[in-house]
Amino acid sequence: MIDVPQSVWRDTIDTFRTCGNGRRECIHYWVGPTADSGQLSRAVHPVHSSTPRHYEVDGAWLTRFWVELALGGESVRVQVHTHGKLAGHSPTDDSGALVYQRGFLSLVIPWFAMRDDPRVGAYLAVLDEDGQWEEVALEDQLRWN
Amino acid sequence: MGQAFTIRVTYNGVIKELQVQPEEDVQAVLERAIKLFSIQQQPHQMGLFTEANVQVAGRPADNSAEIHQSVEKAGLQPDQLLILRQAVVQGGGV
Repeated sequence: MIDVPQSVWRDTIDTFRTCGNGRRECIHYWVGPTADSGQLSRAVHPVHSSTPRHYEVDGAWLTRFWVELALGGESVRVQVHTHGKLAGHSPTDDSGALVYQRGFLSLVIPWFAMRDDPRVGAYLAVLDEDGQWEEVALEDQLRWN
Repeated sequence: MGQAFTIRVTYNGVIKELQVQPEEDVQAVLERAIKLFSIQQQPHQMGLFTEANVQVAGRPADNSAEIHQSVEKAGLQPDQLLILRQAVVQGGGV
């Protein structure tokens, strides 16, 4: 179970709404101490391009981010991104994720996060031991504080 | 045959060491790094990058030919830190 601090959730949704503006996808990474897999300390908004149906993270930014995490003893626990309509895990989501280690979580927020409670209709997937993305219930993996 | 040396590889906040041979193909180094971190992704999606974001192994983001060169030719040095990551990180609804 991963605890989601209010600050992390608020930062994520605020940025989805301003960056995506109800028209484009957006992506965040939830980061916590490597030594404590249940704790999140911050939300990171990567440099990325986006359209109504696609996002791509800047490669140079990602290289710098990987070094920053290593030096700071932090790891990404969850990737969170928006879809314009219903949430799900598309083939592009399946093959283009940030991390491919068992237990990594991918949370997809529908309607560009513009609805009152963005969690309604959200889709959560976990990478299983065979490298496949499997849908799981939010309440089984994430706990909002 | 040159002398083996150790490089460091980082993936999602963790650094691990890997011993390499100067004449070893960087693609083989990439595949060993993927196993070292128990990564469940196809090797052709992954790459090794220097801290200056120069890709030294794997298939580039433009999907051109996989990089094949020796560790020595790639200029890798003892204790050098390499970044193991997806060549392209993307997503999107359909």
